[in-house]
Amino acid sequence: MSGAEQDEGGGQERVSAFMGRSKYPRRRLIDAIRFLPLLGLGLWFLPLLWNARADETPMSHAILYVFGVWLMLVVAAGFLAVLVARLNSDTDDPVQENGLTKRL
Amino acid sequence: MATLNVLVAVCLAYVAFLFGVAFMAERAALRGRVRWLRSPVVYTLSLSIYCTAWTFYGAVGYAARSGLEYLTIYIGPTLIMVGWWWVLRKMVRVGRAQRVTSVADLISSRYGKSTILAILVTTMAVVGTTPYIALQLQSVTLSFAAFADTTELGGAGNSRWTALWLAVGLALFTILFGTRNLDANERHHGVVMAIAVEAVVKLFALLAVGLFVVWGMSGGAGAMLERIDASDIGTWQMQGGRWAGLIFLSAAAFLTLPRMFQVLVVENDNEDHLRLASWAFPTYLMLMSLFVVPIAVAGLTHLPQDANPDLFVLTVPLSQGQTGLAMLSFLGGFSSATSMVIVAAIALSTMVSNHIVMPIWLRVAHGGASMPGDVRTLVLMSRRVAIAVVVLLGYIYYRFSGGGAALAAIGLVAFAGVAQFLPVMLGGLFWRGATRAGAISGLVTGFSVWTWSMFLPSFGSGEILPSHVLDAGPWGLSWLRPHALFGIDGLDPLVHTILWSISLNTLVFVLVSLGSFPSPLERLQGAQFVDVFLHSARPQSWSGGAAQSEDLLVMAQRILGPAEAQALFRRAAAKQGLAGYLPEPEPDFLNELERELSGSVGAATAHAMVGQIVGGASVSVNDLMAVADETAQIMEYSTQLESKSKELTRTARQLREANEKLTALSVQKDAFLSQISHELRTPMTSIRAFSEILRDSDDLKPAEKARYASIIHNEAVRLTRLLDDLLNLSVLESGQINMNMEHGTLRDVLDHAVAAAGGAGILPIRRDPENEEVGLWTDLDRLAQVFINLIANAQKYCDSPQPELRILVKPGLGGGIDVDVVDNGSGIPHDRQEMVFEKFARVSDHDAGGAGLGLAICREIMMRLGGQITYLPGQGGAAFRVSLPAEALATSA
Repeated sequence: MSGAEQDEGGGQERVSAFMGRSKYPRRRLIDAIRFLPLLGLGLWFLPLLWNARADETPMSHAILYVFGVWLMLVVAAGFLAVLVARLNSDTDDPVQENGLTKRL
Repeated sequence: MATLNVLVAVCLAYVAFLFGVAFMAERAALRGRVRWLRSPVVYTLSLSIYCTAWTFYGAVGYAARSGLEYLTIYIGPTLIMVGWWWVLRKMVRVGRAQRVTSVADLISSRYGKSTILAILVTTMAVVGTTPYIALQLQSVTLSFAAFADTTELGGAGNSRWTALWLAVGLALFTILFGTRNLDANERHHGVVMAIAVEAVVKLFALLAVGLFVVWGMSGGAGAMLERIDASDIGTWQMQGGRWAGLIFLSAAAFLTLPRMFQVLVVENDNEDHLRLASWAFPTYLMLMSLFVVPIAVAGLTHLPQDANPDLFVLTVPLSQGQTGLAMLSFLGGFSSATSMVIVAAIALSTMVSNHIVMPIWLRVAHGGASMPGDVRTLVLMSRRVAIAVVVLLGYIYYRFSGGGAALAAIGLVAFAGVAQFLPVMLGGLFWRGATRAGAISGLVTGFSVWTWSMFLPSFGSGEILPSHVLDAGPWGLSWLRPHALFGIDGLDPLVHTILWSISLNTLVFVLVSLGSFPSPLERLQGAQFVDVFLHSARPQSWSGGAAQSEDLLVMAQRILGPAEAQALFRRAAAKQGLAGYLPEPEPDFLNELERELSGSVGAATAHAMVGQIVGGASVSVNDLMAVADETAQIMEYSTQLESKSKELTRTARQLREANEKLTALSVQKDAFLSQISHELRTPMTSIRAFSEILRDSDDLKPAEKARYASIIHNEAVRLTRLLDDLLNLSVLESGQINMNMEHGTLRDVLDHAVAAAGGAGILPIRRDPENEEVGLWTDLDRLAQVFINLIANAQKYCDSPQPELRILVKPGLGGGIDVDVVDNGSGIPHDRQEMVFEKFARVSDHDAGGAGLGLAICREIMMRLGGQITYLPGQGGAAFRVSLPAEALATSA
């Protein structure tokens, strides 16, 4: 997976001279997007520890927890997606725009 | 009865509605209103074909049997979508950059456009998808049966017919909208629009049932949760292995299922759509699974024990008398099933026609791609047949599997099958070292394990695998027992299969990749895939030249259609600055053409087709190396040209010099004629005059007579000498001369020459006696004549007030000796140096009594003796070098 990171990093470096201040937050935003599934995976694996509990966990708790994680993930992903889109469209710098979406 | 009739009518009406939607979408696309059809919302909704009838019916049954385990099937894709930046973004980018048409195309394209790999993946995809299609047929059939039960109608025989009619209907719909045209990008606007609508229908249906169950039957969310806790599945019980394994499996299947790949990558119009889908599709999945447990609990509590949990979505509303809601639910399930079958059949038929039919056709039809006829018809026909076959296979699986197994189990069989693509796919996207051999070995290994441990047993004990094989292994080899490979017993069969198939698959893939060397094209494609964000230009190029543009046009017309092909060619021609429809088959153009074609028939086939016409000139690195060689040759050639041009310049200079010399010679010849006439005339005139005096005057004194006679005599001698010289020269020049070879020393020769020239009295001569002791074997007289001439010239022309002549002897080139004869006069002007050895050349105009033949004679003599005489510039006076060859030297005198 580090390959993708390097790719992205390489692409960024190449146009970094024109990126200006917007580069840093954008990189961190992408880091957040990358981190999100790992967070979700960790949170969704947590219920497996409940098996070790002495008393049985009611199904309703499990449902609320799993769907709570789900909702959180969806909201976070939506938030990040909107931020990425805004970072792309806010800047007048065409290179920046190319940087994310139109580098084809 | 009435209900069933209404059901059939509703189904038909719904299908007609879908038909209308697809038709309108196609019309709109034709009018260029693609923007609306290609919005991110439509893209996101089209992803919902992940939620098939399995989700719609099966999830509830799954939940009723195994609690929350059903969520794993949706958690996996959610994680993939939320983490779109990791894999999906790259996959979509690669898919668009390489014009990938299917998952088989992606894998084959990555591993050097391998046809074998494409066929392998296609076959595996067909085998892996068949249970899934069977699952859809089964669920719709069951739902029909559920209605039939309530109306006391139908039975086993009837359900078979239902499944068959359904299969036929789906195949027809798919053929109608999936193979209407051979779109350049393999995109199906109508179908995508239809499945987007279906996505809404099934979500709406499931939500409606869920809302009814929670608020209509159970009295709100809080009460529902209490009921859930009180039900059979009221506690959290989860096997960690299954939970983790299924999340992995669903995530893998989400990426590798042919139909998912179709909507995710192939039908993707804009990478940006992923942004909306990254959160909207997980939301969709969440909503789809939200009411599954409540419905399951409602079914468990309100329906009899023997009710099929897979049909709770349908039977719960029916049991409450909510026929309308049940109808909606039925439509939801119906649309889930149909959309899945349609897209899966399209994806598979594309793969089958591109990767199996076309390569075979290309091989069988000699002359192949340049033969007359319409390939489009062939491709479309093969797709139609493939769709029918794929759906039929699903029906056959449905019949053989007995239609009894739980929906979820069948779905998982399919998931585990296609998940075998994952290592090869991810390896291809992220690891440049992955090779074709590794991919083939890994896939075969994983698929074999899957077939043995999951697919064959899924038909049921004794159906295909005899029960004793299941229990004791084949030939009594217990470590090969399908559910306990390598003797590891007690694992959940699903976890067992996932564990062994994926791990062995990955292991073999990695090991063989490490041990094998990729072909040049593989390496180029690998770089293209792994570093897709760095460069998106296609590396493999065509070396044109042999390609015939007209043949290419003929072929392109048959695949893209005449109008589009002609437009493409005209555009390319215009880009090259040509008028008309036939561009030069330059690499750029060929690449563009191949890309266009690959959108219709797949990368490997397009590559092969262009290759056939271009004359197999597909450029691998081998070819690139050849091209590099060619470049080296061209460079060498240009070096040669350069040296040739230098040579030419040199020759031209020589020619110019020769020309100047010739011109000078011509002038000299004129001068010679006037000179010789003058030279002859002067003595002749005096001879005539004095002989006339002697003849006519009688009173001459004897002394006068004697004086006149001696003048006549002297002039006659001078004439004779002149004629002798001329004769001598012409003899030397003509080569008719006999050399009189003798032994002697250079000193003797020089002594003789100095004496003959009148001794050192006139001109002091400085010699070099020590070095003159050189033995010679040559014509000594002629050599002496050379020196005589040189000394005499110095005597005549040396204009120094204190003239002096030096004769120096030095070792010369090649073992010979050089004898330099140098005076201290003003020498010969530069522009005359060239001419001094020519006949009648005179350095100065002053009359020194010579005819200008001396040096010419010297040159001829030296040439005969094997040596040469040259003028030596820059010696402070006239200097001549007489070079004698080594052959002319003798050690003993």
